[in-house]
Amino acid sequence: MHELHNAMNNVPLYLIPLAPAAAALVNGIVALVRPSNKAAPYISILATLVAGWVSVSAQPGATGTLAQSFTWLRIPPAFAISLGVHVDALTWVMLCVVCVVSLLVQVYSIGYMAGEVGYARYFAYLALFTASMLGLVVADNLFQLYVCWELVGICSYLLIGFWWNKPSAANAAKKAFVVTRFGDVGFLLGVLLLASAAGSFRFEEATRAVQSAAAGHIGAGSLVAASTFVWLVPVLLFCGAIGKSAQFPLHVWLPDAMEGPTPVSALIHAATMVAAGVYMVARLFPIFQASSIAMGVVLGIGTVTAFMAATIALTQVDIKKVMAYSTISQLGYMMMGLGVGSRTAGIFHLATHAMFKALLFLTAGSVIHALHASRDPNDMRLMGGLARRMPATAITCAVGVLALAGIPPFAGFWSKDAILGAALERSNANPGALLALVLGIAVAGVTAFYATRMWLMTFWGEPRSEDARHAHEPSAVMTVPLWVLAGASLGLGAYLEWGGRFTAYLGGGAPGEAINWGLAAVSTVVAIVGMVWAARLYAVGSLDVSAEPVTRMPALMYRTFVNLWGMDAFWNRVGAGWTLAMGRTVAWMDRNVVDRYVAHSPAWLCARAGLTLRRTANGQAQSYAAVFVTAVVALVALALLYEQQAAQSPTGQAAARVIGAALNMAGITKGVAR
Amino acid sequence: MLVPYLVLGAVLFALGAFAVISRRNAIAVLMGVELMLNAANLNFLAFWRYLAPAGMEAQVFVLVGITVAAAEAAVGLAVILNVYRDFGTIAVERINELKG
Repeated sequence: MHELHNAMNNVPLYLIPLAPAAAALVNGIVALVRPSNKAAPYISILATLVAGWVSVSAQPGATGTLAQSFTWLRIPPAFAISLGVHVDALTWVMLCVVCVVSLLVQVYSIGYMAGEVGYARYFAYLALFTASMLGLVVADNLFQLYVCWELVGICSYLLIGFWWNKPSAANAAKKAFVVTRFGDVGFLLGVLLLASAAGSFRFEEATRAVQSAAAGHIGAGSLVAASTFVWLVPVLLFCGAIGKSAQFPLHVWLPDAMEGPTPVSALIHAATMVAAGVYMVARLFPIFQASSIAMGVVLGIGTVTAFMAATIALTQVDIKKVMAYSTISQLGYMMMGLGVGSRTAGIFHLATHAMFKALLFLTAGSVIHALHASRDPNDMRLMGGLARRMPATAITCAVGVLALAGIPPFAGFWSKDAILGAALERSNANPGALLALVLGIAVAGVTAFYATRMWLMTFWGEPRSEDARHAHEPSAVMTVPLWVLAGASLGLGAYLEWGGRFTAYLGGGAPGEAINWGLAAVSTVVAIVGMVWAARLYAVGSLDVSAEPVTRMPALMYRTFVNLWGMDAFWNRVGAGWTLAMGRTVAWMDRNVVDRYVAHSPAWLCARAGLTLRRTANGQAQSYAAVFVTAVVALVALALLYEQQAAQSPTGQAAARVIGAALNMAGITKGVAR
Repeated sequence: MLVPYLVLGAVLFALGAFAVISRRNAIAVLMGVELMLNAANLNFLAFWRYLAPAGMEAQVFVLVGITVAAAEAAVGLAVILNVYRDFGTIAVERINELKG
């Protein structure tokens, strides 16, 4: 039974996730019959436009919600799982971000993926991803959230491994999926704990359950005591965010995910999927706020991630890896914002970061596309001097770099400052916030440095390879999205901050915190110092890449950063090593215990029994006759011995009746006296 | 007086069955079959003579039985002749083509 609860108006909210899903289906069929069909992107772009149009027109007020849902499954006595679309202020912001970035990436991909094998398949996957991500942000219950969470993970796997015949890409896809799945175990445990205590998957009821647990009462279905529940559930839920949003220690999949096409990196691994963890924490914010342990975990991990990843980004020579670590670092920033208690700051940075990071990835994609014939198109050591050859890309990338570094008036400045300001406000009460503030400012400086280094190595000076010398600007279909995103990176921050409208909208109508101009000045100065320092080292006519300025930092520092703080090696040894060891043990047990006793023994027994019994079929009529005679003798003996009991049992009486009737037919009268 | 005859019949039947099971020569097997048939006939006559001497059924049955035994012996010998032509032997243990 479906019951449609149409809350406010008749805007077909279902179209938001369903239109891209339909496009995915259509493109999937197209991919099977005509893999290089040129019309495929337009189908998914049209669907994204539909979803975007419905999203924008379905803007709820700061406190209102629009909802349509239906009950999918009822489990008596009182449990029900529903699916639906639920749009409130937070969801609406996410919808805008996802639709805009997805649309621009798809338009860009028309140019970037032109001529690729599997063209239609690519757009099918992109449409499926868009549908899943939209389904995730409009979910009104944990079940739908989790399902869409896993769906975006699948799409990420499919898209990272798009060029599946390249072993490194296939391995990267596997790594991404396995690592995020690892986090999702904790996530699922958290969801189940929460649902069992709350009696429902829906967010309101789950939040209420946590709030009552904080007061000491817990529902009857819960598996743990109230005091444990309060911190355990958000921490478990955060495990999912650690995996999906590439926080320490499960961030290792994101740099490898750069094996996928660059537009995929822009959409999934910069703007949207990795933001799903941040969105989840924001959506379930009351659950997190109920426990200071949970907030501490979020803050701590966010801070560590932000710092670690920024230092690693300093030493990378692959342009996409720099951006990947930058994304990890900025996601840490968002978690920091959430961890100090400011949901608005975290989401603000999510929105601006989506714009400028997607922009940076797409410009990197243009550069890689221009250098596609090179031995390693991603290697910045083979670039240089591209500003003259690709001016639009260079300018838009510069906008992205300035936004990332957090220079006013670009978008990143406002959102980064919102986070730092929130940290400052709580730094008296919360020592963790003070540490976060200090490290956050330091990370801002490091970020500015590596971003500027990236831009200069790519675009400044003299070309360091033949392919760089022959690079040229790509077509309009690839540059127009860059300009749009550049505009957003320039103006979005200021626009949202104007009159505190973003804070007011997201905060449910209440006015937010005012900007602390002193802190803003400090962080801007730090950023400018970072940029200037990088410029002095890298803005030279011809850069000596064999002795790059960054490599001249203290050896211990450099080695730590370049070896990714040992995380990849750690996971390879621990994760892969332990899993393989467990696997070997289980395999031994499987071969020697299960196979032998469950599979081989019965088979062996049957074979032996068969061989033995076969000896009775020897073709000798006399042995058959012997068996026959023996059987008859035995039966008669039994009949004679047990005649009394046979006469009393129903079977024996029935047999006697049958024999009597047979004898009657033969003409022998019954009652022959003994 | 009944029981001794029944015992005789049983003994003859057992001897006949034993011959069928254990003799090597096919003709000896046939002889065993004849013995078994005769034992059954003897049983019939014993029951008739001492339990229901008035009726005729047993005598008829026995006469038919003797006839059938004779016919069956003839057929059996014919079969043995054909088997000898095919297998070159009438030792029953060598005739085992249905083995498996």
